[in-house]
Amino acid sequence: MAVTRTAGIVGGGHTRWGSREATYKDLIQEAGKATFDSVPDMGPEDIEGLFVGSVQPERFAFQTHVAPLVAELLGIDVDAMIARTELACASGQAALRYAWLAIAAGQLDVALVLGVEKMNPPGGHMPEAQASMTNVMDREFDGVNGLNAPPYFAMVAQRHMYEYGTTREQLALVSAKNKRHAAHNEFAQFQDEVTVEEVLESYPLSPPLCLYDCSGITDGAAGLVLMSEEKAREVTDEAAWITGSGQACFASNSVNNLPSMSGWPQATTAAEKAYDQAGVTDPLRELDVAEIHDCFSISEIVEYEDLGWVEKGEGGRFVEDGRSALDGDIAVNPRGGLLGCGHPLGATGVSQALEIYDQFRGDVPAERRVPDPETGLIHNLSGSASVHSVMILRA
Amino acid sequence: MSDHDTIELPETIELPRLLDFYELQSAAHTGIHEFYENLRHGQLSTTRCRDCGNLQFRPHRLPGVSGDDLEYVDLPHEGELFAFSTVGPVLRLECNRRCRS
Repeated sequence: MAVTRTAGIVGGGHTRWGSREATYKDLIQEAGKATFDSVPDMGPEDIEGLFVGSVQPERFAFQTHVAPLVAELLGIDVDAMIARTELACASGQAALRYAWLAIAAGQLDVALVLGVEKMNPPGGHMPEAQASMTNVMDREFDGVNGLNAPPYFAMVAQRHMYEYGTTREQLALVSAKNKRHAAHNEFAQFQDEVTVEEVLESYPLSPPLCLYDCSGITDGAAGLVLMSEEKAREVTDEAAWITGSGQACFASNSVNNLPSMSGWPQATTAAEKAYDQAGVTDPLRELDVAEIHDCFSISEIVEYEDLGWVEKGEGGRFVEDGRSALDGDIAVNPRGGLLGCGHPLGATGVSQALEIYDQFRGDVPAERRVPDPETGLIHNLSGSASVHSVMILRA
Repeated sequence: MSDHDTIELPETIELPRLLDFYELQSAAHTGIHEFYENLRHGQLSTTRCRDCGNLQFRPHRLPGVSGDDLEYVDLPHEGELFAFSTVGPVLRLECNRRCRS
């Protein structure tokens, strides 16, 4: 597919992520202000299109029609395109992709992309929030039988260990690496470093996965301003250009009938489409930084393989050999990942893209700064990992 | 605590919809209620296409989207375990040690 017009990220902003004493609206306003503060000489009056990633505001915040809510809270009169995107854990990247395509198609020049989720309800209603997570997969079979994310990814871990010899310690290395980065991210939910031993000794939430193998239940928001190349060059010479994007979905929302329980061929399809569009022929050599979907430690290991960086079964060794470290082949999750930052569903993809933009500009603490990155990737999976979304960015 | 947070304890408490699994397994809520009815009688079952004989799992609703002629068939109660986990407040299963070997 040809991309007719180039678009780039020219700024963005973040709320603190965590279990926040803040409402859904508070989070939107915090992220919106931070986003507009990041782009001088531009304000709400310049926004033509608004794209909001948010997964379950109806259940978490008792609100629907949330894109117009964001418009009201941020004072944006939209005159070209407005939509909310819901694609479970990939909703933020979906919002960014639609904004990019709207600009590429010449429908608008300036878009705001905002991802937001309020997952910790006040007043002790966490069981309701937890129950809501079971309706991401097929409710009438998986959900009502009690299956939510942790046991599904636990079974993926178990099959990967069984089929390829991946070790429990290799899973823990992913958590320790990403939480080490999050310790230097002021927006992260979890800012404490943990050792491999501490991961292994943490609560066995869904064996073989322990508590520190799992991302959080998180309140948070993040925003981005996306502009056509012509507009972007008026406000900055440091845009992060979107050069490729791909998605693939297997025809099942249930964990049953997936083509594999130890791999995600849809990730390979989505990545190949994105690489091809961006002109990336050797991702391991050409990618400098990647923000990939470590909802659980096993996910990152499977993704090393299925994004085409190493042979199937070599993912555990990839982290063990330091090849995903800041100074490795590809610096993976320098932001701190979902394991360190938490995972406010609709905001995650937006925050990942903002991290790539910040890394390109060197605007991150030295402890987690990638040396001179020029090409970056973001990746999200959603639901039972039947859907994968990949985007390539260039400095 | 405000007044509306205080209630008399009722005889029965209606669970939130999603926590009430059984209601969601009824004919009014799902096209695969027969699977749950069979399960309630101790029988694991699924649908099979009468034309080609292929089993589907999870069961499809009847009639299938493809127009296939489907029927419920019993599944055996013994099989090879492919993968398993548990979730929630579980006892420490010494999984770390077992999974390493």
